[in-house]
Amino acid sequence: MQDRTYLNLFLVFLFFIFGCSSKPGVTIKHFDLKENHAPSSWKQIAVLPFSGDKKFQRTSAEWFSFHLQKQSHYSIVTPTFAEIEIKNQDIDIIENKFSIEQAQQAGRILNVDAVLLGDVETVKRSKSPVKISLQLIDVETGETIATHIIGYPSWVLLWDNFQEYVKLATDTAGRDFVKVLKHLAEGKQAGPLPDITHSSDYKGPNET
Amino acid sequence: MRHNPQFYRVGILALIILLPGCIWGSVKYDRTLRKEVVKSIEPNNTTRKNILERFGPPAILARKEGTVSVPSLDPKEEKRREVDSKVFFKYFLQRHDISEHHAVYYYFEEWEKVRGVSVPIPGISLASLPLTSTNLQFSELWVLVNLKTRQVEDYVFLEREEK
Repeated sequence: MQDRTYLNLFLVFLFFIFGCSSKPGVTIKHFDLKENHAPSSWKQIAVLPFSGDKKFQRTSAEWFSFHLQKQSHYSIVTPTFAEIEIKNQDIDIIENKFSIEQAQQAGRILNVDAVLLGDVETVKRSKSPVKISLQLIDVETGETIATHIIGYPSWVLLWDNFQEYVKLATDTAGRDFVKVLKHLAEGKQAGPLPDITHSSDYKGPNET
Repeated sequence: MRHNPQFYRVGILALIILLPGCIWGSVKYDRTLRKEVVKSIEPNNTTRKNILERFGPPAILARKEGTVSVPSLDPKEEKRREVDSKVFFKYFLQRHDISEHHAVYYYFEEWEKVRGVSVPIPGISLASLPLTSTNLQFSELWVLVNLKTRQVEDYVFLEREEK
């Protein structure tokens, strides 16, 4: 009987310990890159203002572009600067949702070779409450060169706020895309691309 | 299966020693908005990049026009609040000629200041411990950045306490 009490106590403590120390891991991570596309002439890439949750779209885009500026292959135009320039040209963009044509147009205004579209979604009680989707587009051809989707699991958000997890997801996205840009600039010598972890229930970019 | 009670006793003891770490963790010791770090900002010399390196992503990035969607301080609160962007420029409006190229990087930090002798006990809030008092502290930082020059033009740092 006493053994059982100790066992129960031990399990309760273990439960609290795990609750305190565990950090969330990425559950949805989908990555796609057009390997044969060789944009050797690319010099500048613009991160366009992110769409999605208004609370986080600006800060997430800014933090993402800050990560990208750590690489030296391409010069990065920040989303806050891009926002001003695009606004001055009166392109009709609703809630920062760029079509491919609009993304190309924005790229031409900013005089860059490629643009990065981003979307940050926060949906409570869904499979991926924090989800960041990215799309790298060649301004000249309108071709999508790379896509990347990162999601965080729901259980971690039961007792915490979104802000920290948006930052974590943006960190992961930023680090991954630095590898992608390095790969595009240097080819296979650049080392491994981001690890791809397909969650079992991944259904593609439109999954909610 | 026969369990060894000694094993669980040692286990529980070890966990009791480890658990306070969790409680201490809830008191924000890894603060980024420290006075000495904030003081290192030099207007017209510090860059936007320096700010992001030192303080991470801002809680809010406000531009001159429009509104900003402010995250609720209460994690359970899902509703967002739309606030006029000018609110974030209030400290700079008289001192600077604000243009469309200006942005305010706003940082906010909430932490507890613990006073007195305290022995953290698992499951008990620090505030409820005898000989211990905790005060909720708020640190706020507004950084005015010129997005064209990428330089910091001014900043305001405030700390307040809620007893």
